[in-house]
Amino acid sequence: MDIQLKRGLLEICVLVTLTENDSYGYQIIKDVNPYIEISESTLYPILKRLEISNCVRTYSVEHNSRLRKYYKITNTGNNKILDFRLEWQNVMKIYKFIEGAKIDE
Amino acid sequence: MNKEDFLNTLQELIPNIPKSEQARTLVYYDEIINDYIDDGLTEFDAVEKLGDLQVIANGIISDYVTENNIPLDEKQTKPNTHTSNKALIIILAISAVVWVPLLLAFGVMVIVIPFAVIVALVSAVIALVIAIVFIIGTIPATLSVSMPLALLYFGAILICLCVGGLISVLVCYLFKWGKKSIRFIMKKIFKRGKSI
Repeated sequence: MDIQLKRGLLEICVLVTLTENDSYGYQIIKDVNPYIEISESTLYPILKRLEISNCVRTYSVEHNSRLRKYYKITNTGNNKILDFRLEWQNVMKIYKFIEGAKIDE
Repeated sequence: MNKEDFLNTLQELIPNIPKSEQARTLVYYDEIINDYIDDGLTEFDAVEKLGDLQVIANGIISDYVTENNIPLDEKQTKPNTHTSNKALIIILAISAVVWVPLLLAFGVMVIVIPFAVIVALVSAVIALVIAIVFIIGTIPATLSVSMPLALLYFGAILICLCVGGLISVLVCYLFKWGKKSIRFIMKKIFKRGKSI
């Protein structure tokens, strides 16, 4: 898959996992992986970007006598998902057009 | 490799990233490794699962570089560069009042100064040659004891030497002054270019 497209999809997928519950790095990887492959090193810059663009807020929770960083989706993050859906309605229209092309294979 | 070695090596591989960013990265990987261990993996396996350290480090560095060169909103920065280009052209046009005459003066100087120097040098050489001719001429005049002629030649020698000497000094001054003013104008133009 195109790298830019994958990165964009991953950002949205990470946000979607946060709509149910606040979550942390390892859990996010486990939740996203069934749909789109994501590694620890791919998730890191995505979380950082989401935090910088105010799509998520972070807080720390003590777990097994260490700190775990939790991510919470913000309104900006929710809007980003909604924007993505709107945009993809257009993409789907374009896809239908592309799909309709008659090409001899 | 255990967790500590992994984190230490990772930090060593990203020395040019700001300390705060390094710390943030290490906290993230520390937490992930701990979560893997909590999930039942051994420390060794957890570190193995993260993959090649060099690849991770390269990713962090390239992310950092792109983030700091390309601002988050690309749409906003593009028109900005446009306007600054326009502003540059306008400033150049307005400041033409200053830099066009300067450039012209500079051009004239570049042509005139070498010309003047050559003319002066040639004159000095001619004057000095005439002086030498007269010096040689004085010898037979003195020998034949024609005092008025010898004195006339002697006077001509003095005049030619003075003229030659004066022109030589003038040439030296012209050289110095020319160099200085060229440097001065170059600096002025250069500074103007820089300040824009």
